[in-house]
Amino acid sequence: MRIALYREMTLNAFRTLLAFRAEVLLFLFGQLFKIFVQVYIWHALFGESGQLASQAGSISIQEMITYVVISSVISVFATNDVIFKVSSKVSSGEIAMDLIKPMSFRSVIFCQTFGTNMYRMLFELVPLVIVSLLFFHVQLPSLASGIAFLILVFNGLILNFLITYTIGLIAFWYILIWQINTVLNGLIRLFSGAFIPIWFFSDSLVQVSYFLPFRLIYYEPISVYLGKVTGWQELLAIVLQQVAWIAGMLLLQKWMWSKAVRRLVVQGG
Amino acid sequence: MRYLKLYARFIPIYFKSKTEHGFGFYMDFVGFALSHIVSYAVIWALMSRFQTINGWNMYEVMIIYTLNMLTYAIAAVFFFFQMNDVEEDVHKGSFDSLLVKPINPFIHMIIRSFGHFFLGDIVIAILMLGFCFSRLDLHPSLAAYAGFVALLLGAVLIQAAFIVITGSMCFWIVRARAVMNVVIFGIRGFADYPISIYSKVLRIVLTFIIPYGFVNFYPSQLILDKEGGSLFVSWLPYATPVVGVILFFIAYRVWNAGLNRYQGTGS
Repeated sequence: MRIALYREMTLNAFRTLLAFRAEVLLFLFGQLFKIFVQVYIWHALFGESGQLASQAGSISIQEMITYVVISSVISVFATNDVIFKVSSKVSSGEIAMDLIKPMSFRSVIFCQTFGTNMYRMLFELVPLVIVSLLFFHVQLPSLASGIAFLILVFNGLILNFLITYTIGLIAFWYILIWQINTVLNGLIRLFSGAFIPIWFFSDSLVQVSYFLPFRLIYYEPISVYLGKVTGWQELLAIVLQQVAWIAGMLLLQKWMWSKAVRRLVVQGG
Repeated sequence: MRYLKLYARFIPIYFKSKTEHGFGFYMDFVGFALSHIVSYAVIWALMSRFQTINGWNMYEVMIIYTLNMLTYAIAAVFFFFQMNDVEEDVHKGSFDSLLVKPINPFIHMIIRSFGHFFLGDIVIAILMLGFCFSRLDLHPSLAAYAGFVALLLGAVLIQAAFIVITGSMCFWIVRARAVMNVVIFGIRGFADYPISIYSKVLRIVLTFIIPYGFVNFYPSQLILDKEGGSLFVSWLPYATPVVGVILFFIAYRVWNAGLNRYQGTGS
């Protein structure tokens, strides 16, 4: 019963998006351009040698290109509009319709995001992977690291959703949410390793990045994919950090939600 | 002259309508500034590890990035929101209001709005240029400065032309916004770094077909005295204003072709 509800919510988001196929195609182009720029930047930085020393040992240009491609694959799912969805529902009063639904507001948003991601998997991820495999030499992981990678990415995306959702809740207090979104995107761009792998960071930046959850979304899963993290203890440590952050964000959003609903005033309906 | 008078009327009205929101109006600048600070931080994080990319050091890469941002911001003040409004008008069918006024619709489109958002970008860009110039210990002569500014004016025309061309797509296709996004936030991104890092094919495309190379790469070659790293022929930097004028002319023709195609909603 409950499941059927979630399924309908998810499929609805999926169907809505089917109307925007041309936009998806163009988004794909944008994504590919970004990959191209990054690949060339790394080629120029690696120079002739094709090898660079780093905090995680020697990195080859092949590994770096794989890193770029995997990073943009993750970003297909990690780029969501949850913040804007929450804030526009608050400012337009549409949230009243979600509050009377027989599921929590968080689940409504989650299902809609999940539906979007399903759609993206079909129409963005698949073409992106095909083009990447054709143009670039993407390395494939061993079976064990591949499975570990998938688990970490899954956790990372849950964490990513919770972070954006929690920040979206700020809209109850401060409606001009897009500046906060800019700050968040900036922090992610710099400290998640989405663009520059943390193994090329200077020591002070590495330390900052370890206090932030963002590297658990991009950098750590990709490191596992590339086989830079092998010991199961290290792997377990990453998973535990992810779980801890997820638990922390769950508590935080719960607390914020309880404060927020009490503030909510919807004019008419 | 008449247009300038009109502009002097239009803009205060525009600003009055915007500053009404008070706090949010000023926070918009902060938001834009923050996104640029992050971009510089990324360049810093990258270049402090690698020192040079294709012979360009950190401050030179920052200049490249800044010039792309500066010329785009100047063009965007006059065209970005304006072209977005055009798309909205075309969708809603209210575009006729532009056609019945006794002014050239192109001019009217420009002067009825103002991209105050981008003023913050311009300020940051000029500060960063000053900072990078002093770090590089550059002291160009007055004549060199004047030449540089002339090249940048060409670069602004190029940026404006791309906004107008992609924005005018709304006369042909429904979702022109997506095309605009791909060109302005996708392809323009190629120019955030020196285009000499790209493969030969891409360099040709960025010089002769989608000439974003003229936005920052070629002008900065001149001011940074990077003769050794010149692509194709050494006089290309001087062609910037010509490229700008030609491209802008093409953009104007595309806009006019779009106007001719527009067929109101009959309301």
